[in-house]
Amino acid sequence: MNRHLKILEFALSTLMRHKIKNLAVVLVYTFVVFTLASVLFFSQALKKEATLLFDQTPELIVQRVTAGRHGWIPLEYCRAIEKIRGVKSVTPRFWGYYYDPPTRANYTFMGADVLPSEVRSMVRGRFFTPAESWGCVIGQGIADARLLEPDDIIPVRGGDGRLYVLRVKGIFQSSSQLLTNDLVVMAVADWRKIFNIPAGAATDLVTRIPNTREIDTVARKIQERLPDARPISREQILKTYDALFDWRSGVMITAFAGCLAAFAILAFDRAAGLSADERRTVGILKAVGWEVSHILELKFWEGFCISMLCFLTGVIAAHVHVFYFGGTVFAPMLKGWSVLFPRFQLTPHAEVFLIVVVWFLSVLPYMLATIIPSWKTAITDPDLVMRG
Amino acid sequence: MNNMRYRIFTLLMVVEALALALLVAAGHFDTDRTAPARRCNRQLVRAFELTDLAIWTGARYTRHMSQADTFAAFQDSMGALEHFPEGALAPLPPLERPFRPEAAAEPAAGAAAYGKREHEPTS
Repeated sequence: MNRHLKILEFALSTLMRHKIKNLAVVLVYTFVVFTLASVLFFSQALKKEATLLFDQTPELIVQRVTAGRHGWIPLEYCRAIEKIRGVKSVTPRFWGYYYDPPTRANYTFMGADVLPSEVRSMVRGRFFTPAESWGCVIGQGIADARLLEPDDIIPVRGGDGRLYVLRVKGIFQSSSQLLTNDLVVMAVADWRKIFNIPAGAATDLVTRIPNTREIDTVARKIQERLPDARPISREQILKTYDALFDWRSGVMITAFAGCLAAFAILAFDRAAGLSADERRTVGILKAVGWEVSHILELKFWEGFCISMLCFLTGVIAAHVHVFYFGGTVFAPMLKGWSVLFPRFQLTPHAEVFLIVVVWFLSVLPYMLATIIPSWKTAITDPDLVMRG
Repeated sequence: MNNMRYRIFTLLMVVEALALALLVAAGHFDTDRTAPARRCNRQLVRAFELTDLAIWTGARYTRHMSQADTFAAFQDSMGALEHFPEGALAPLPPLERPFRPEAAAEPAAGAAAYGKREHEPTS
């Protein structure tokens, strides 16, 4: 045990002799670990959040495609779909987009007449009643952008050119911003008036199918009976978000590729061989009686000290960055041009597994790159090594 | 003092490892703490039949990624340059699997068998 501690002490002294060089390595290495861990934590947290939320989404959404684009779907389609065996219910959804010139933001306007009682507790203020015309409930993002409080008004220019005035009855709680940030919920009749939509049309149809194994069959039958319909299953929605965050994390890593490349060059440089000074040190150590195993242990400790220090510092910094500062470094890339960007608190998922992945990707290659060339030098004759 | 380096290093490693363990544990409790909010959000998804996260509101195909046309992301006009950063960061749409369960292949197999029988030489 004492011998191992002495070798560790010697390894630390060796590292301290080349302070500037090793400090540069530590900085780059820590940044690489920080970036890699941040991207993995961030994308995994968002992906998991989407999966947990959207397992409640409808089994099948049916759109109508007109001239290759999403068009209004006639309500008669409900009856055709309801007749298919395995379908529990078909309900229309009413939603559309509204561009708000003062804030330069896009809102999602949604029509809903029947509001479940459990949702009412998620609103600051209250929900509008079916009898209340032009009442609405808005998301926190809109309230912040337009400085709105319950009982304030939102003027909206309708599809017919007239100005409609919506009165804010309630605001969705900020904890639901990830879903409701840009949402304006109003009565279906008001929604129709604003967008000038005929009475027999909806945006799309929600098809509830109790047996999930029948979703594909029902979707096929809908396509056979209604050739212009486009069914979108829950599985497809979940796959979209899965692919989206995998892709985004890939793009984020690509953006930091320069740093990764610098680190790869550094690791390659070490793997390609030791410097003349390092070779001389190995030769002297062998000449004064060190064995190959001692030299390998010395190099192991050198690699271990640097890589574990950078790994732990980088992972801790990534955790704080993503889960306490909301991934500030990635925010511009994530936001894009969104005017209304939700504030959301990410929570870790499968973090231990991700930490192990980062360890395998960062520590292991560096350790190997340190030990292998040392082994090559250590098995050579000391006189030959010192002469170069 | 020189012989103390390994002690300082070991202490640093232990402190960092403990800090990381504490952060991971705190994250685990955070996940439990946010469970009520997530439950409420799941109720919202069910009540309003929501399908997408309200993260990217720049364009309709980034607001509702899962509901976008099949030829996303260049939706504003054919051949237009993508001008929304978030649109450029969206992946290619997955190849849409036609809703054709295995049972649907049976008539085709039957037709093939029928065709073969038709061309068989008669004895």
